[in-house]
Amino acid sequence: MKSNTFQILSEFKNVAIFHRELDKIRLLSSKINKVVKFMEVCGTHTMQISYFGIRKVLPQNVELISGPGCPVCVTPIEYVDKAIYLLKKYNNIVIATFGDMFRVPGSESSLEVEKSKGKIVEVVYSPVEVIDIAKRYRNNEVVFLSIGFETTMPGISVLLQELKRLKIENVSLLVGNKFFLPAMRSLLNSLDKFFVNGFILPGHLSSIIGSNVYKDIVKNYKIGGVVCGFEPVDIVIGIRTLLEMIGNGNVSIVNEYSRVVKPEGNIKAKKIISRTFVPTESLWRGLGWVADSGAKLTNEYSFFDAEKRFSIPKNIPTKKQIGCKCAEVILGKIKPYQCSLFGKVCSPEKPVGACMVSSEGSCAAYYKYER
Amino acid sequence: MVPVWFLPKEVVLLIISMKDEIITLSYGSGGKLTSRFINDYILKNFGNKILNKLTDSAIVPRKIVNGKIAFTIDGFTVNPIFFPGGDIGKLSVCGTVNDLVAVGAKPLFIGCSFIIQEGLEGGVLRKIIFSMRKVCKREKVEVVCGDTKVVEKNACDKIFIITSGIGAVDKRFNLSYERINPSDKIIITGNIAEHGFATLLARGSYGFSYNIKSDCTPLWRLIKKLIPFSSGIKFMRDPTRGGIAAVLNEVVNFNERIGIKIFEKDIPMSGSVRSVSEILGIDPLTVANEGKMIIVVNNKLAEKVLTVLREHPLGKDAKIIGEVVSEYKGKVVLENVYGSRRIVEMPSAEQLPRIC
Repeated sequence: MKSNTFQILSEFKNVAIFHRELDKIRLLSSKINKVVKFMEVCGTHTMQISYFGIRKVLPQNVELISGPGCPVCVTPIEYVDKAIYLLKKYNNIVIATFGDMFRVPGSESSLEVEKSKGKIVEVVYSPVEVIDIAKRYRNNEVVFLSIGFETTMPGISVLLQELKRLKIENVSLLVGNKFFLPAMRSLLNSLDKFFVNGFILPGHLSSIIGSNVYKDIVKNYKIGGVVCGFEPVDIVIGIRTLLEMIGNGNVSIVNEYSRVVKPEGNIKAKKIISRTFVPTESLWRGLGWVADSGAKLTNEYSFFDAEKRFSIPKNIPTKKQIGCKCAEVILGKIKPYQCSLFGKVCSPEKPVGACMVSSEGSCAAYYKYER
Repeated sequence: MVPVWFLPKEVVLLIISMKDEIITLSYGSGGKLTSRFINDYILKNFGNKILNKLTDSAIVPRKIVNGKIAFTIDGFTVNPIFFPGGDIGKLSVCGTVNDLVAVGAKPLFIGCSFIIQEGLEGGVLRKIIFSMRKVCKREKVEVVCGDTKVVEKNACDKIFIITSGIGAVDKRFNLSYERINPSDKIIITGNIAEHGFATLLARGSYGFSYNIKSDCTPLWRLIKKLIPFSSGIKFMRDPTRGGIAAVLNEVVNFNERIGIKIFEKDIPMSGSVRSVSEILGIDPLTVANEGKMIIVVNNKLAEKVLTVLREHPLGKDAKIIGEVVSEYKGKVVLENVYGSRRIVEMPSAEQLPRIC
């Protein structure tokens, strides 16, 4: 299996194919007499585009901009504040979190700072690790910071089912999970009509939700999209395909990442998500409140809702970071380096906003690879 | 009982001792057990004219260092203590030896302090000391002073080793950041990232293993071959923690008149390292080496230096990976195989796991 996998992968890293696609891109773009902007809406794409320097080899009239694709970046400051509120209010709380959230600044503090003051914060790689943490801290209340799109949600659903089966009661979830499509629609509604000429659609996320779901975007907004893998060849094929659509005026959804993504998605994963989560209104950094874009626990699992268990107040007053333009960056309205804090007071070592902290944030990508 | 008559005496002792002895707090108490410990573990393995005197400080003859003295210290806390290609003992000698080598010094003496967690098996300790002894013997360096402390459970993890080293700087080397200029070439003496990945995978937390061995090796035998070209060698550093990314960034941070350009296609790397870095999403440029040297050398001598390195088994995979440039001031830039480029940043914080 090993050698096969790498054979397939190496094809999508192949330099000759990359340059062949690039030549096609040059030819196609020379026939289009305008600047075209393609938006990627997945944090891993953002990172890969910067890492491979793809922006630098594209023709001048083809621009790549980053949209709201990083789950940490779109999580609002209010969410971090709620976690810190719990740590401060109760002294038996253990926070379990994905590593990316650890350093995200809230209004007054971050989990990293609270940990250094003696609070218990445990970093997990996979949601099911929370079960071990719950066993280790039998006399504490473990609160898992449940964030992420549909990509992360099936794993969290498995955690919930296991908690229930094993009758583990000292765990609850601060649910900040988000559904991607409602946000994408909201983004499209908020953008000027011709701001984006095409989408590089997420790979991992689409493996769950499928590529069929994007069809109404074409229908309603007349913008095409390509579901893309993450290797350099994947990304240039995506860009070439979008340029072809613009050239022949025939927009559609193309699934370039068919080695992973099925049109109908992962039915099993979708089922398990719907057993544990239902859509609700949700607050996004950058987009504000978006109907049906957030997840809350179904009645069957509402026992594990941290907001209910600890009666977390709905409106904890927040203090926004002055000058931080994460919201504009997330919507692709400005490039990271156009924020006056970028690289000066805000860097991965000392981040002001979420986009600089997350390993998938656009500011981090620009700072790390494209300064 | 296994027939042991054909094995060397040390190995027989090792097998016997592995059966029972446990290091307890009393071994570090300064009493009877301590002196037995010094005899059995330390002197038997490291014994030499200077160490055997057991003076509070080692007294070394002045004439042995004819010129400038290089002096270094390093702490070793590697987890796990045994990994493919080495163990904490071998590492603790190689690491300190290579710090001396990096400033153009011939390694001579080692000082060594053990911090041992109570409960460590005597056999494990012997195995570690035995591999230190093996490296010392081959490299002709002597352990001349040391200390042992035993601490309670949780005060350390199994064993930490701190080694200091003294070396004689070879006059013919003149190494400093200031001498680095645009057009100088950058050489790495072999495949990168092997130590870091070997230890990471040896922890077993990834649920898969891979055939990667630590490159942990002392480098004086290789680097001394470069003495005839020393006038053109401007700077050396062994790229340990933070990998070659950290070393190259240190160079441009110190000397801001220059930038560094490296070429992805020229960076030597085994197929296994390439695959593992891919799977784990860890940039091999930021992963530790323990038997490699980054050498900045005058453009005109670069090819000659490379040839000499390649003639030696420790340098057979050596490559020119890039050059010092006057553009990109203060930055390290990697030109990738796709004809584009990216910044190679100083590694920061820990690697955060991906969630999407």
